[in-house]
Amino acid sequence: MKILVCISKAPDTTSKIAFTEGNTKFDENGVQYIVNPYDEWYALVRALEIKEALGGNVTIITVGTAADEAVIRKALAIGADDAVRIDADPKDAYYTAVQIAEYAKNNQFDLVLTGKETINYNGSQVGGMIAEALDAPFISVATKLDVNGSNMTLEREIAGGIEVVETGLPAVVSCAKGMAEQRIPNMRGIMAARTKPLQVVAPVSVEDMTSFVSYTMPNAKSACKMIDPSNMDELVELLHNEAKVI
Amino acid sequence: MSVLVYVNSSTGIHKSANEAVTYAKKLGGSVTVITNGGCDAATLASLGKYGADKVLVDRSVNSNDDQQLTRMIATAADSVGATTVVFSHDLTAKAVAPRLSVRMKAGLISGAIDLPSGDGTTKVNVFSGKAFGAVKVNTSKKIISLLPNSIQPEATGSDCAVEDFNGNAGSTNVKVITTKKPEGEIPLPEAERKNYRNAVKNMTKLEM
Repeated sequence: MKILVCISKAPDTTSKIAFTEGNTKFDENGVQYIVNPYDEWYALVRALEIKEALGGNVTIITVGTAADEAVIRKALAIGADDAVRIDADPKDAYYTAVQIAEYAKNNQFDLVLTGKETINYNGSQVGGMIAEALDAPFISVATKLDVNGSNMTLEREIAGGIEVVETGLPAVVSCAKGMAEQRIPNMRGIMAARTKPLQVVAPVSVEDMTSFVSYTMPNAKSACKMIDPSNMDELVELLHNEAKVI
Repeated sequence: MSVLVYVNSSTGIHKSANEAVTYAKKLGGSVTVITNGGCDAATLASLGKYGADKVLVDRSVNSNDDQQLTRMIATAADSVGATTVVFSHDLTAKAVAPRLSVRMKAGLISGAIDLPSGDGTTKVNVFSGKAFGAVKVNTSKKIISLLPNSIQPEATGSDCAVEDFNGNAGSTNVKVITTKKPEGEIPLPEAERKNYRNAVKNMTKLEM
C-alpha cells in the first residue's frame, strides 16, 4: 500500500506571533518551526500504523524551500520511509495542492493523508483541493480510518455527531484528533532519518488564486469586568455583543 | 452581480444559514440559495426573509458526499451566472468549498469574519486566532466561507420562491454506514442564543 502524507511546517505553538515589512510578512525571527501537529500526530502516525499492519510504503511530501528540511527529517525520524520536497515557497493553498496532486498523480498512491488544517493559516483547504485535482473521494475531518482491501471505513465529524462511511481507494483523507496517538521519535529513528531518501522536485507552473495582503494583531485584552451573579441578562449581553463568544 | 449561497438544510435551517444569506445580500446583487435533500419548501422559503431572491433545491442529493455537492453547486453557479459563492464555514464547507474552488477556478477565502473591505480584501483569523489576515482573491470568481457568528442575521424581507433543480450531481462514492448522534445534548455549533442564555443561567445557579 502506497501512502502519501502531506506535511507542512508551522511555528511552534509557543511562538510569539509578530509581523514585519509593514505587517505584510510573518516575522520568523526567533521562531522555531515544527511539523504541523495535525499532519504529524494524526496523518503521519496513522499512515505508519496502516503500513505496520498491512505493509507498504509511507512517503511524506512538503512544498517548501531547503530551510524546511529539518522539519522533513523529523517526520522521517518518526518512521516515514522517504520524503519529497517540491522546491518552492508556497503562498497559497491552491498552489500547494496542485504541486502535491501533480506528484501524487504521477506516482500512483493508494491513499493521500493530510492534517485537518495547519495551525498557522487554519484554512482546511489543501486536502479537498488535492482530491478535486485527482478526482478522488475526500473524507474531511476524519477521526478513524481502517483499510479493508480496496475499501476504507472511516468516522468523520458531522454537525452534531459522527458519521461512519465507507469509500474506495484511492482517496484523500484529512485527519483530526482521535485518528492516532502522537509518537516521539527515538534515537534510532533520528539516526536513520539522516540517510533516508529525500527527493527534491521542481514545481509545476501555477498561479496563486489568493494572497495575504497584510496582517493585524487583535486589540489588547481589556480589563476584567465583574458582573453581579443576579444580573445574568447583562452577562449574556456582554458575552454575545462585546466578547462575541456566544 | 450574482451571488450563490450553499445552505446545508439536512437538519432544517439554522442560524448559520441565515447569516450566510445575510452576508450574501450585503455583498450586493441577486442572491440565489442552492440546497439539497428533503427540507420542506415552506422552511426553505423563509431564507427569503434574510435576502434570498430564490432557493434552488436538488431533491435527488441526500448525502454529504463532497463530490456530489461540488458538482451540484458548480452546476447551480453556472446556471445563475454566479461570480461569488458563499458558504457557512462548517464541516460541509471545509470538505466542499476547496473542491469547488479547484473546479470553478475560484479563489477561496476560508473562515471570513467580515465583509470585504474597500481595498477588496477580506479579514480572516490566522495563527489559531492570534492574528488577523487580509486576503485578496486573484481570480474573477471567488468563494467565501463565512465563520459562524461573525455577523448577525438580518430578517428584512419576505419568503421567496423555491424551485426544484437538477444539479447533475452524479453518483456517490461515499456510502454512509451509520450516523452516531449524542442524545439529549445540544450540538455546540447549532446552539442558539436562547439555549446559551438558559445554559449560562443554569450553570450559575449550580455554582451559587
